[in-house]
Amino acid sequence: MKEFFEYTLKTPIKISKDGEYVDASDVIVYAPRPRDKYKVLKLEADLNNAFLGVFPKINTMIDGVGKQSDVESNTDDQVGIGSLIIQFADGDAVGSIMYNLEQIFLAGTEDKPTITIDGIQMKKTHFDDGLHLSDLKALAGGYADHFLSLGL
Amino acid sequence: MATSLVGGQLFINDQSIAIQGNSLRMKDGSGDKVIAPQVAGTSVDVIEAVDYTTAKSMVAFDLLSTVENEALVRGWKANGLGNVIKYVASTGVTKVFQKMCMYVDPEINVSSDGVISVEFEGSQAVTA
Repeated sequence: MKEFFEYTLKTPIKISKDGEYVDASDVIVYAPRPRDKYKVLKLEADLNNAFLGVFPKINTMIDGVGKQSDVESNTDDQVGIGSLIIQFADGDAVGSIMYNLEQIFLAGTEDKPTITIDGIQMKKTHFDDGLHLSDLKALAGGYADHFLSLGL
Repeated sequence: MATSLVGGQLFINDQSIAIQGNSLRMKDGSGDKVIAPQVAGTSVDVIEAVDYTTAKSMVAFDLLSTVENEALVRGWKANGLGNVIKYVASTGVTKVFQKMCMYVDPEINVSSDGVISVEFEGSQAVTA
């Protein structure tokens, strides 16, 4: 498992850093820490439950695309299963997944970070007031794809 | 109808801070004005100038004396000029105070209803 993955926010957010209020966009998401294992297991269970609902939809989409054209697959456009689940899961499942993910992210501290922005552990206010929805979904998908065991 | 300033929220280094009610005071730091008369015979005119030596912002408030608040205060003091204070008014208007330093060693009143009085000074406030 990778120790972390990097992501650049599409919409930078304002953070306090070294006494200044600056725009920041460079995010590093760290692999789950042992102390967060129960939160991570809950997130993984939520994602796998959502996967069962999403799986038929994805199959239908793939069949539809396959019948309509024989477009060659482009590896750069490939999306992980975690990102697909976030994209197509029903509302209740997504709400629970995002809540659990936020709890994991917010459990980090400056010395043991879970997610940093420009080197600073992200805080609740960053999620509440700054983080754009598309970036949150991308972070959730990335977390699932890099660190969790999903699918059949 | 006027809207009271009371009810805003205070953030220090992006962390929401619970303070004692009615204790928040702040200055934007636009500087004091000096009015000086100039005299020509019996004619007196006044000029207005800004004393930029006073152009520093101030944020002061009281915290209840708790172990957690005492640790926060110690952290802010150790940061030197590295603190950012954000005040979000109940109307949504946000003031940001950058390069804020807790220049006075705060007195910690150890009692059941004790408070820690905190005062920061720093750069002029900007409205975000």
